[in-house]
Amino acid sequence: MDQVLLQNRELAALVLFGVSIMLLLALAFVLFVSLSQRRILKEQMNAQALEIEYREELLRSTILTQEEERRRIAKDLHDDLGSKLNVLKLNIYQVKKFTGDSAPAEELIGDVKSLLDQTIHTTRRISHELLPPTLQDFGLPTALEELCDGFQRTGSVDIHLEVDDPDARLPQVNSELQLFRVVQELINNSIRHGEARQIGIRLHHGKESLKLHYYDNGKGFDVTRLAEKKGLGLKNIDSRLHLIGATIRYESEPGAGVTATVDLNPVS
Amino acid sequence: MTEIDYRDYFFYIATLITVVSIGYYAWNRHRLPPYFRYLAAFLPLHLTLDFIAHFLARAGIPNQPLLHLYTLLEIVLLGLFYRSLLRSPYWLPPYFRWFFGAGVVFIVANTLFLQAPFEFNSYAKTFSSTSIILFALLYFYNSILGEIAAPQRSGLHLINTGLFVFYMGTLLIFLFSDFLRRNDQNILFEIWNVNLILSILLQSLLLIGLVLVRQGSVDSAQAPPQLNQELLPGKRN
Repeated sequence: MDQVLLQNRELAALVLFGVSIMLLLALAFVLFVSLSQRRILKEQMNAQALEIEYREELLRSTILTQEEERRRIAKDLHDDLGSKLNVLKLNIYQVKKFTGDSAPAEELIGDVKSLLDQTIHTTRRISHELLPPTLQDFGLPTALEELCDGFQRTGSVDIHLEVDDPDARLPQVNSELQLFRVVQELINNSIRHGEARQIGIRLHHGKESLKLHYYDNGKGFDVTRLAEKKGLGLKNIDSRLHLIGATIRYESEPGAGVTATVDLNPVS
Repeated sequence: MTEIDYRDYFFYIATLITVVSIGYYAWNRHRLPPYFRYLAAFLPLHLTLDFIAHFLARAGIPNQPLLHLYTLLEIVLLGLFYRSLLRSPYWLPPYFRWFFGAGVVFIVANTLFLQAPFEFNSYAKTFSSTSIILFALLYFYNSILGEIAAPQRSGLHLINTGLFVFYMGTLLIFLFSDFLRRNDQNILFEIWNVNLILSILLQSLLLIGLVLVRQGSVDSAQAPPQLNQELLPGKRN
């Protein structure tokens, strides 16, 4: 009887030993998997970081090339086409002297003058839209003021701009340009998609940072679905801000307008 | 007053953790990936059958029929969990559903023809445990390839580890339990404690895994904006 009990005890010990071995094997395997997974993840992350770096560089040069091209076109429009149109306008005044009092000729010249004025105005507007000279000469606050005035003149929207330091300049002109484009895109979105009637912009220059508050009274949207419903305009904003190391945070609800806060720390 | 021995404590701890897991799942079911419904069905099944089996055993009433039922539902639910989890693009053997179907047929056939409901179903239980170990290995294989979605990775890794370690540890217990029961029931009870301790470990890892998966799902929904790929050369139409 005792021998049977002893045999059973031995069997139980054997089973327990087997269980322990199985557990050790399982734990060793889990450890192996975890270490392998970590190594592969590290390799993947390195590859991903390299790819992101490459794409960022590509994106940076794409946007910079785009801006450079805009600058060239704006310059050509202003300096070449603009000045030629002005010469043409002066010549029309000269032609007027030779036509005398001929009513049909006077009417025709009047039409040409009016058309020329419109063309000069359009050329200037396109040139300024492509690259506002104010941005380069006077900085972001003044350029924004000019931008807001332009939209305000259309009568479709009421824009309120508040700047704490109108003379403040960012160390990099590119940062000012990208922020200007972002505000341009935000205003366009508010008018086109949000059907906003009122827009507010507040620019606050910190010691080593810049904060831009933007809000409208448009239709708003569900921010929880922002990632899946982001259009080209919002993606553009992200890319431009990413380029200068700035971040944007949206707060909105359907029917409650949009608030966007842009943070830029030029030092970082 | 009923006497409570230390085995009861193990059982109550495992039960308590299972109850917390069920509550946590119920509270967060909309925030968890859909494949968790199979695991969520497994938890109350485990709780209920374990609870009844435990008190039947304490009352000296044979509880083997419950183990037959548990084995069948366990492989069905965990099999569906892994099948749903490892859906494309992950790698799942093409004959998985045949293996799965044949396993279910074998477990039913075992109860009908080999080990009657009032016998210990060691064959079926061993087969079920081995299958779940294989499913867990499949998951590990996919995770080593780096295929498992990042936000839920750590939570799923813990859940899979819990199932893998539990079934690896209890495989020999189930394999020899019928033999031990025939020789010395007391020794079986002693060895059964290992099963209870592993059950606590499994339930704890399932709970932590659930919390981590839920956290991963929330984090991925709040991911920061990505670079605009459409602006890149060659990405634009």
